[in-house]
Order: sequence, then C-alpha cells, then structure tokens
Amino acid sequence: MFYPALFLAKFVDWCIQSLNLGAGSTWPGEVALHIDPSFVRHLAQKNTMKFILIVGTNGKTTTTALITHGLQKKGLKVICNPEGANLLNGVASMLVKNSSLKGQIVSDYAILELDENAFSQVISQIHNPDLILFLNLFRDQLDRYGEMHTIVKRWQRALASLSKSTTLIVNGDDPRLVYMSKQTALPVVYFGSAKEDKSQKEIPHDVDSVHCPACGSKLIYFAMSYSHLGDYACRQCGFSAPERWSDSLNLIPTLLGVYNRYNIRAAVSVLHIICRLEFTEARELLDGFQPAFGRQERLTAFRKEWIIILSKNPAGFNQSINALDEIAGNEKTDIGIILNDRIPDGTDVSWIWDVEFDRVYNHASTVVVSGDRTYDMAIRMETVEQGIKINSKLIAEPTLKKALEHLVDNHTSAQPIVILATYSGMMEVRKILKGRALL
Amino acid sequence: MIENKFKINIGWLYPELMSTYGDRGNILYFRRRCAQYGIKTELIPIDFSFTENQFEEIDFIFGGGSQDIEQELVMRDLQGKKAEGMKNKIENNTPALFVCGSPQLMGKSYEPGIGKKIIGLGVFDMESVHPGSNVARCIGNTVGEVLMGNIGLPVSDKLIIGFENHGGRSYLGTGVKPFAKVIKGYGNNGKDGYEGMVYKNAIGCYYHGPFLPKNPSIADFFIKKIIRVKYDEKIELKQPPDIFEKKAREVLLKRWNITSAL
Repeated sequence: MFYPALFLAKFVDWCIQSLNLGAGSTWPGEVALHIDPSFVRHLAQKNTMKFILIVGTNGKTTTTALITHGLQKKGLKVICNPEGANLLNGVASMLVKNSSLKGQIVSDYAILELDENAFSQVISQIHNPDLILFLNLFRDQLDRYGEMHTIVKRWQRALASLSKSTTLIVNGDDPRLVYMSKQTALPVVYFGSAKEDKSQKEIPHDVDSVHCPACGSKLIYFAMSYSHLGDYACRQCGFSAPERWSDSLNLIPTLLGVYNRYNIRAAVSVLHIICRLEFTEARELLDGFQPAFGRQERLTAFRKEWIIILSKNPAGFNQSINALDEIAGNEKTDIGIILNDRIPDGTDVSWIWDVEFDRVYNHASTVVVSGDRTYDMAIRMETVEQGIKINSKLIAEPTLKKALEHLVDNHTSAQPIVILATYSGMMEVRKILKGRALL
Repeated sequence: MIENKFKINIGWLYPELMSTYGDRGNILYFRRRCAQYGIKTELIPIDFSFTENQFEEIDFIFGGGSQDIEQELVMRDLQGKKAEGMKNKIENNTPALFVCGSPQLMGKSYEPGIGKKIIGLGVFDMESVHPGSNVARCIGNTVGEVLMGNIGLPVSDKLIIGFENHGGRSYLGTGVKPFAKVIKGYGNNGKDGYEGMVYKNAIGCYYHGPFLPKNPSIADFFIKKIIRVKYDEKIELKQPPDIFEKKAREVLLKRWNITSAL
C-alpha cells in the first residue's frame, strides 16, 4: 500500500499548498499513515538518507537549527520537520513533501525533532537512526505528557529495540538521561556544560530529580548549572555523572544563556561525530547562526528594538530570566510577559508558581503582563518572596496589542524591550510586531 | 492592622518532593496575605530531618502533590512516630490544607494502577483507587461551591476555582464530610458530585497548584481558623482590594459561563 499512500498524500499536500488551506505540516502524513501504517518505514528503506533524532523537553528547535546550519556549511543536504509537527504524522508529512512520486528523497540527513510521546512511535518505523540526541528532561505539561519517569521508561523500551549502529548523544548533566543510557548496549557520547556555567549554589525550586534514578537516595550535587542539571553522585549506590565533554567553547553572540550553551554543545557533539571534526572545529561550523523564530529572536518594530524569548515551562522560563543577565546586563529595560493557556501552551498554568519571577524585577523598569491568563500572571508577579521590594511598575493588560503599546510608551532604556511568552503568545506577538514592521 | 501580634508557623510537607506543579504558590500567597494583615509567618519544612516533637511548633500544615516515585519516598519516611505526631496534630484541631495528590496519602489507603496498595495516614476516612492507566485521568479546569456548613466558618466567596489532574478516585467514608459541590470538573471520583473532604480543621481537595492565589477567601478562612485555634481569638480581617484576584476569577467564570450567584 506504499505507493497509493504516497500518491494520495502527495495529492493532499498539493491541494493544501495550492488552496492555501493550512495544516500542511500534518495532514499529508496523516493520510499516508492511514493507508500504509508503516509508511515512514517503507519510505526510509527506499532511501540512503541518514536519520538524526532529537528528543528532550527544551531546546529541540534551536538545536535542530544549529545542526542543520553546521551540516549545510559542510555542503550536506538536510531536511527537517517544521517545529510543532513533531509527531509521527508530522514526520511523515515532511518526508512526503521531500519525496518524488517514486519515493526518492534527495538528502544526506533527515533531522527530526520529536515530541516526548512520539519518540517510541517514530523508533518503531525508523529502526536504525544514525544518532539520537537526548537534550534534557524537565517537568512540562504534566496534563499532556504525564509523569517523568513514565516518559523515561517508554524511551528506554524503545531504545531496547535498536541495533548497535545507532549512537546516543546524551546530556551527561541530566541524571535520569544518563541512567537511561546506561541501561542500553548502544555506544554513548556524553556532553555537559562547562565549569563556568555551573555556578548555581543551591538546588533551585524547579528541580525534578534530585533523587538517584538508580536507587532513590538523595543525589549529592557538587555543582549545578540549572534545574537538576549538574555534577552529581549518589552516596548510596555509587551512580554518578559520567565522563563528559565539557571544555569551554567560543560563545555564539545571538544565543545567550546557559540553556543555549547546552544546545550549542549538543549540536557540536553531533557535528563532531558526523563530520569527524575536533570539537573546536565543529563549533566553527556554527558561526553566523541566526536563532529560530521566537528563540531570542531580535526584531525592530514601533521604532524599538525587541527580543522575543519563548518560555514555556518552569525550567525554560527560569533560563530565559537568567539569560536576561547576559542580554540586558545591569541596565533595566521593559519586559512583557505573555501567558496563554491554549493547547500548545498547556491548558494548566499552575507552573508559573515554580518560576523565580522575582528576578525579573532586577531587569525591569516596567513589567507588562498579558495573555489569556493576564490576571493569574499579575497575581504571580505581585506575590514575591518575603522581604523583596518591588520598585518596578506592574501593568496588567489582557489585550495584547495594548500591552505592547504600554511597553513602547514606557520604554526609555537603550536595551531592547524583552518579551517572555508561552508558545501561542510568542506567535501572536510576532504577528503584531512583524505586521507593523512591514508597514 | 493587627501588627505583629500574631505569628503563624507553617509546616510544609516535603517541599522538595511534594511540589509537583506550582503547589508552592499556596505558600508564597499565604505568606503574602498574612504579611498584608500584619501577621508574621515562619516556614518549617516537614521533611526527612524533621522530628515528631517539632510538631508542637506548627500552627498550619500544608501538603502539595507528588509524582509516584516521590510519593513512595515520602511514605517511606512519614511512618511511625512522625505519622502519629501528624495525626495527633490534626486530631487536636490544627488547620491543614492538602491539595493535589496529598489528600490520597492522608486517606486510609490508596490503590495505584499498578503495584501494591499504599496504606495512608488515615487522617481522612477515605479510600482512593486508581482505575488503571487505560481509564482517562480527571484533567481540567474546575469550579466548586464550598459547603459552608461543613467547614465551620463562613467564607466571603464560596466559589472555588482551580485545576485538577488526577488518576485516582476517592470515596469518602462516614468520618469525613465533603468540602465542596462540583460545578465544573470531575471532583473526588467523577460520580458523586463532591470535591474534597473535611475532617476537623483539615481540608483536602484534588485541586492542584495555586489553590490559594485563585481563592483568596479560602486563604482568609485559614488565617482566621489558625488564629482562633492558636490564640483563641476571633479576628476580623480587613480584606485588601484584591484587584487582580477579583479580575482573574471574573474572567474565568465568564469564560465558562458560570455566574457567581448560583
């Protein structure tokens, strides 16, 4: 049933494109998989293209973009699934789009960023990926993904089905991922952050796993970068952080913050293996990188400079706030926080209470909160730890356009206006700012 | 203002293990609210290093939710004298709030989807059962109406708003009373139309995360209760303007077409 599936999917794709219907990133694949449930496997078998799978809670899109940038510089042809289309149907759609009617795809690599829950499904169709990159695992949308150890268990089962031709690249600072990788017989390369990025003194509130994944005792941390990532060991059973590549690297000025340096290190590790380059040479391939949209994306609108930072879960949000130190330095600017509660954002906004929002005030003259949950966010911003004085202006404005106007009106700093937003909020802000910028 | 006359020591159950999804919001908000009324607060973690005689200092107990593995670690520690100490505390009328998964641990027993039945502290006369992973979890925004007669003090706004996310279903025995009537959501078990449970001054409910920031009248209710139990004094609280709190509630109730006058 492969060819009928491909033809019909191609036709659906063509209709969507020519009639401008939208949903083009999932529907063709949905159709193909309906007719041939093993469509992805069949298409993969017809081609020599190698697969790189990217899994993790945060940083998938940026890391995919980084690896793509590096491989393309090396003259390799790369295809990848658009962000958000990270389920099996999204993967299938992307392959349909890039395939000829004969089922041929002209590409050296396919980089797939995968949803936490879709990983096992994709592995069941792509039996021998070249590389699998595990970035991190944080608490995110428990309403959708479920509990974290359930996720790891599922991943582990999927990994057990792979042959040794697959190499794992794993964040060695994440105990859960390390433990998982040790349960497989696959070759593993570990990366970790550099010493200078492990300055966190105490265990922060957004941690998810300070307990040993092997025996359940409390882990000892010698140094932490953020959330539960760091140098750790278990006194009880001896489980500890593995040997990792953690040398210092040249920064990429458009990607600031500890979390982005993890993404960079992950991408460099991948390039190091694929292109057989020294780490420093692999890093040079990333020069000239421009961030993916909404990920520290800089733009000009309303005669102001803006920087938009997608911040969608506690670990991600805390990292965005941390990055403000590097982005704005000591000078205060004006900061917008957009909290939506639609499906792509997660319908439960309780997690805002796990974020250290107090620290936003260190960087803000004015804070404007907006989005579907404007007032929940406003209450959060008003409720700081005991003893902290708020010297910034706080404005709650549910209409996004007006909220952005408040930011423009209040802005006098030489630093860009900063927007911290959940997914759909980020998209809306971009629409408004980009639309205006074109006029 | 009742400047510095009162102090509340808050005992927080295993903050590192039992704060799955914004449960900390209750602590932050409660402390802020107390500060607004001029009441001092101190935070005392009830965790591994806590000993049962420290219960004496505690005026209010708060428990949040945890994921299964963390829950196991908690139950391994919350045993023997520590568990007895906690039960006595509730028996002696100490106000307590358990949200998210913690009421299950305070019940008589909890049967997880897979694995052995867990024996709870037995604070609440209640049994909880997880119907298995093939049965849908109870997830979504919630609204309830507090059953005033069951909690022993009036609240200024009896509508409670929250978010639930639980696999387990709880069934109340005769020794506890329900906390609220379900208006939106599943409640304790998706069947009987009740949310949460009350025993003496302890209240449990499945609402998780920031329950008090969404429901300041419940925060006030607890403050009054605690002062009454600790100092044997009835206090009136001059409610702050609560501009954002009122707006937040108004926006959500409107979104769900629920009018506050039921």
